[in-house]
Amino acid sequence: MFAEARLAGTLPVSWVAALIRRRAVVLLLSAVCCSPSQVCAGHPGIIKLEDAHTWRIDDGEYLEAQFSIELSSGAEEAVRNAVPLLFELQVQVVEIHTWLWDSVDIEFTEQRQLQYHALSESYQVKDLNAGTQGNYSRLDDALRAAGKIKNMLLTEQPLDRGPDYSIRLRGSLDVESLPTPVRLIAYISSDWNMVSKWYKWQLVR
Amino acid sequence: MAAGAIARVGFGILPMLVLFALLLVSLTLLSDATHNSERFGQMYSMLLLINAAGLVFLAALVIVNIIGLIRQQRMNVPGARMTSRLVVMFVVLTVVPVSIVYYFSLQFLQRGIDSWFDVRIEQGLEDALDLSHAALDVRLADILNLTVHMAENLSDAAPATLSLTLYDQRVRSGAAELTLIGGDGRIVASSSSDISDIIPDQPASEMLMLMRNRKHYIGLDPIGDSGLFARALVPVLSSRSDSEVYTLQALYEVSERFSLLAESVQSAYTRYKELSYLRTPLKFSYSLTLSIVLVLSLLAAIWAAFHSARRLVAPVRDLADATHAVAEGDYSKRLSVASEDELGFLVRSFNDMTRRLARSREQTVRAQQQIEGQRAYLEAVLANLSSGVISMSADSVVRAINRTASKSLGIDARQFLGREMASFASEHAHLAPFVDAVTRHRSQGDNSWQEEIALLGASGHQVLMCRGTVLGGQGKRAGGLVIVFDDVTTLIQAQRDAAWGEVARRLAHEIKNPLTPIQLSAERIRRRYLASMDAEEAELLDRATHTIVNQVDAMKKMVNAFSEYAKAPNLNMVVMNLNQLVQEVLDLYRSSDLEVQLIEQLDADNDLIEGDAGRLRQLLHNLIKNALEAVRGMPEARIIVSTCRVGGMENSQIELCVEDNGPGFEARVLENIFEPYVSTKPKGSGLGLAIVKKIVEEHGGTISAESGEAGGALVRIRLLLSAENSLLSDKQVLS
Repeated sequence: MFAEARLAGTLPVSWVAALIRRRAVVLLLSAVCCSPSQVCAGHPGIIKLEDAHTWRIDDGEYLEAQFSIELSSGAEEAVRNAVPLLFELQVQVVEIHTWLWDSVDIEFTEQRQLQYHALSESYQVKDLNAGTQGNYSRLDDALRAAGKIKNMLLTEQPLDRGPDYSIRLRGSLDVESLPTPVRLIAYISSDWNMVSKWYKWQLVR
Repeated sequence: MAAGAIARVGFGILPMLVLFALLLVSLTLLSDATHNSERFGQMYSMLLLINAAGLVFLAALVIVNIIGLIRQQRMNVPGARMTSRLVVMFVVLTVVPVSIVYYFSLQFLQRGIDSWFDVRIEQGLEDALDLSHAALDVRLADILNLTVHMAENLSDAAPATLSLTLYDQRVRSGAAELTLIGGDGRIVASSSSDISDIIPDQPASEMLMLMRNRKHYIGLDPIGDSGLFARALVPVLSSRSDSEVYTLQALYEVSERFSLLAESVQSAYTRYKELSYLRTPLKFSYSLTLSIVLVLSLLAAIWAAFHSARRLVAPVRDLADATHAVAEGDYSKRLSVASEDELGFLVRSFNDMTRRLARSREQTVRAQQQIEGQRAYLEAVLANLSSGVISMSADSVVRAINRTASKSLGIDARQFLGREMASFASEHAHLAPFVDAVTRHRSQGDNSWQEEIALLGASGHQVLMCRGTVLGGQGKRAGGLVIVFDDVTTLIQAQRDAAWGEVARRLAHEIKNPLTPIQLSAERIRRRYLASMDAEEAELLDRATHTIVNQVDAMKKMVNAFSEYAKAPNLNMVVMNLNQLVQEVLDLYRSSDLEVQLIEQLDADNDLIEGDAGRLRQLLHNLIKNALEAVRGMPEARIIVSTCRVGGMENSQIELCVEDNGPGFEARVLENIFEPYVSTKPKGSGLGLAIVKKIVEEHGGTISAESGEAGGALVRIRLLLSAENSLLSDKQVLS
């Protein structure tokens, strides 16, 4: 079920590097771009966490979460024009240190691709990690399916012993996976800047 | 500092070429990535950043160059203006064609991309899709009917036989999978043609919602990699009221050919739709890439313009610098010949010119050094010459005075160089005879003359033997005058002393020696014949022999006095107070029977001189005796003896004056009054004033005699002050 599961004691370096790179390009293009009115039209996209909870069964800690995704007008137009969108749902189990930086012990990234299927006039949501797929005639249903994390096994080791842990979640639209011409606009347009904040809660023993 | 580093790195042609090549490769990749290439799509943002960094670097380089050029222009650095003109020219030559190409490229780009998309193609694709839909709709309607029929068949089936019935229905209908789903979404029974597929495909929850409303669902579903399926959902309505409402889901495989065709239409339609949507962003991306290429080209061109202009101007600037250096006098400047063109020829000519200039200057310097050497030699000769030399121009301006001349005349040579000779007399009155003589000879037009000139200066009587020669020839020095003179004072004095000494020696030898026998003979005659003669003859003899003896005595005295005068004295020089000496001598003359009034006016109380007290006493006696004799028998006879300090701080002397109110000196003897045997008195040896003069000269002083207008004689003596006196006066000043 989980495409990527790694135990690490470091900050997500790759993610930070990607963020810096993206910000740099945004800054550059903002400076270069001469028509800001074109890139800030319509309502903005929102990704937020609607519900999340963990539970423990004998064989480990499980998570279930539901992100609410509202596409911006630009993104919606792109989807309707058969441009595939990739959503990333990041899950991190963070070990809390009193005196040091908190360290990310476990990290998963769920990738969901949303694409319109013209023949069946439906929206396809592919879970790229699991390889499964669902078809939805309504966009709302498809987005809901894309924002769903179902029965995710976080770890087989119980987290209620040893140090304190917190879990944090974040959902975002992956701009880097967009077709190159759109990506250039996505860098500078707030329309495409769809990323939720980090939702964080501490595990109660 | 950073700007300097950029400039240093940027000025090298090789690093810049490498940078341009890298940027070009990066731009090519960027262009490829814009084209949605799979290879470089992932690197797009990185490539964009690299290109942007390159552009920023180039822009910084160009800005640094521009600032540097402006600064050079303000500082008037040679070649800066020429560089500016060349840069502007190059930039204009580059910008105009590049801008035109950019404009038309942009136009072609916009129109080219727009031309990809055709309304007819779009319509055709939509029609194809509609056709697919239509074709499928017929099939889907059949499937729905079939499924409804199956659902009816199942409605009455006993729960225990549901699986069997389902299997039977699936085989009969040709469905790929039949699944019976409960009201709560659980799978009640399922039958699949694929044995490996244990878990049946579940419908979406929204479809089950439809079932609750007793509605049917029929649709196409692409399921994973299995291809296109027709999915039909129909509620299974049981006749039993207590029975649960099931949903029958039937999945029918669409025929492979149909599936492939439909998928092809779908894929083409999707791709076209996507491309159509991407048209605007694509134009933006291409325009951006093209703009980056334009800016890169422009910046590279501007940099190249700077580089080329510098290379072109460098030899000119070097030439300008070198010319400036030559103007400043540096002839050692040589330029390296970098090319064989006209500039190279110019540089070679410049090098030749500086080489010749350096050689001629070297010759000039050598000649000048020779002249200087000769001049120094001449100066050394003149400086060490015992004769004084003064050279003058035709207009009597002093050109050179040697050391001996300035010493003999008692002047500061530097003070009079470049001034007229007449200024000698105006500042040093005692040089007036010298100046007069020179002026006189000039006015007379004497080309070569010789004259003995007597000066009476602070240092006493001085006799100069002068020889003047007018310089001949032509040019600046023509008409100039060279005066060579020797101070012959000492020589004349020595000659005179020697002459008088000889006279004295002769007198002693020739006259004094026979006097004693004469006197003895006279006395013997008197003794022998006086007694034997009668009274009258005896008286005559007595008178005659008396006369002889007296005259011989007188002659003896005269010869002794003369011998005394001619004899070189042994002086006993001591530091002494002149006033005290004067008072002592005057006290001797102050007696009650003296009818002459002796007045002393002694001002120089503390002044000391170096002198022989005995000789100076003799001097005073001689003068006072002379004065007493001069005023003897005159009413209100008066003799004034005075001392005072005369001269400046550096050349101060004591002046001793003895003045009487007698008849004074006769004008005819005044000139030779100090010569021996020159006297105005009926009685006298004629050596009194000569001895006075001798004593004064022995003390290095000067003496002069004059007659007052109302009669009376004045003898003025100046004696040098002692060195101790000046020390004393310093102490007094300090105290």
